[in-house]
Amino acid sequence: MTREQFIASVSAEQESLRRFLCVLCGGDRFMADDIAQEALLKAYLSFTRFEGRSRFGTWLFRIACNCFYDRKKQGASLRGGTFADLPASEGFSDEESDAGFRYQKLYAAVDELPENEKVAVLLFYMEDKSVKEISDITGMPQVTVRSHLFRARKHLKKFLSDDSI
Amino acid sequence: MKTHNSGKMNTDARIRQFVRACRPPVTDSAEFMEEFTRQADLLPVPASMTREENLKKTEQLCRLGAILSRGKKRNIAEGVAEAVAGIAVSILVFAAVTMFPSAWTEAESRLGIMYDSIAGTFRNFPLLLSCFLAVAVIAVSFRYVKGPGKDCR
Repeated sequence: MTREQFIASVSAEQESLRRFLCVLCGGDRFMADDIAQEALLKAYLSFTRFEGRSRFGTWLFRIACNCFYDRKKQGASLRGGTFADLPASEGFSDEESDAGFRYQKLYAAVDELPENEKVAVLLFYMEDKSVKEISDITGMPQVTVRSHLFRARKHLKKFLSDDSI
Repeated sequence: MKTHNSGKMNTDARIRQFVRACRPPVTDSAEFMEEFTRQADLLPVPASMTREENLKKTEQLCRLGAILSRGKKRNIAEGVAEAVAGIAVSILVFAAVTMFPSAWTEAESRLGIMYDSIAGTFRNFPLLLSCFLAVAVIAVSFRYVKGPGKDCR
């Protein structure tokens, strides 16, 4: 793969990657884009290590997930709090804040989930990844991914039924 | 009748619909890619992406393969030439001996005991020649090698 082909492949995957990170960051678009840039540059520099055993997109998501966890650790140690302590609207312009409000429901629905379940749910329902792909991305066994999805499904079902009342 | 699986699928469909409806849109893809390309430009191009370098290496390997192949072809040609020369000399000697029977009878009287063994050799000449040819063919076939790889074509 040449540099141009790499950029073309990234271009095809970046949208879903950024959306996934945006929801994972609780709607902080700037933070999400920052992590996405970091992940893509890491992928660019370590492309030699891409063995082609999984899809290119899966590999990018895996790097992005690792970057997100690293950032989360750094953020927690710097602020002395958790990553989710950030206000959901941080990084939005006024215009974006109005639009962002519409997505608060999704952020609220996944916000209470533990990190692993949140990642599994977003990859499965939002990005249409299979259990095997999620297992490749997160490094968790497929059985664990299934159990995370099962628990998250229960939580979301409750959230949706509470919401519809 | 509503089964457990259909209930699960129903929940799945509801969750999927909800997540799809509430997922944030990604709008500034062009700016993002521009920024990524700009940052990537500042970094050295990874070795695995330098196509020119790979092509140069392949070319060098092809050149080396061609030299080796030429050498091996020359060896085979020399082997074949030596075998043909040997056979030709043997045939000439055989022809000379059969064409001059007087030399044959003279040899019988002069050589004595040795005559029997030499005469035996000449009697079995066709058999010896075919064995020699078989050995030559086997030797040449062992020396046969393939040319450079398909990348060089």
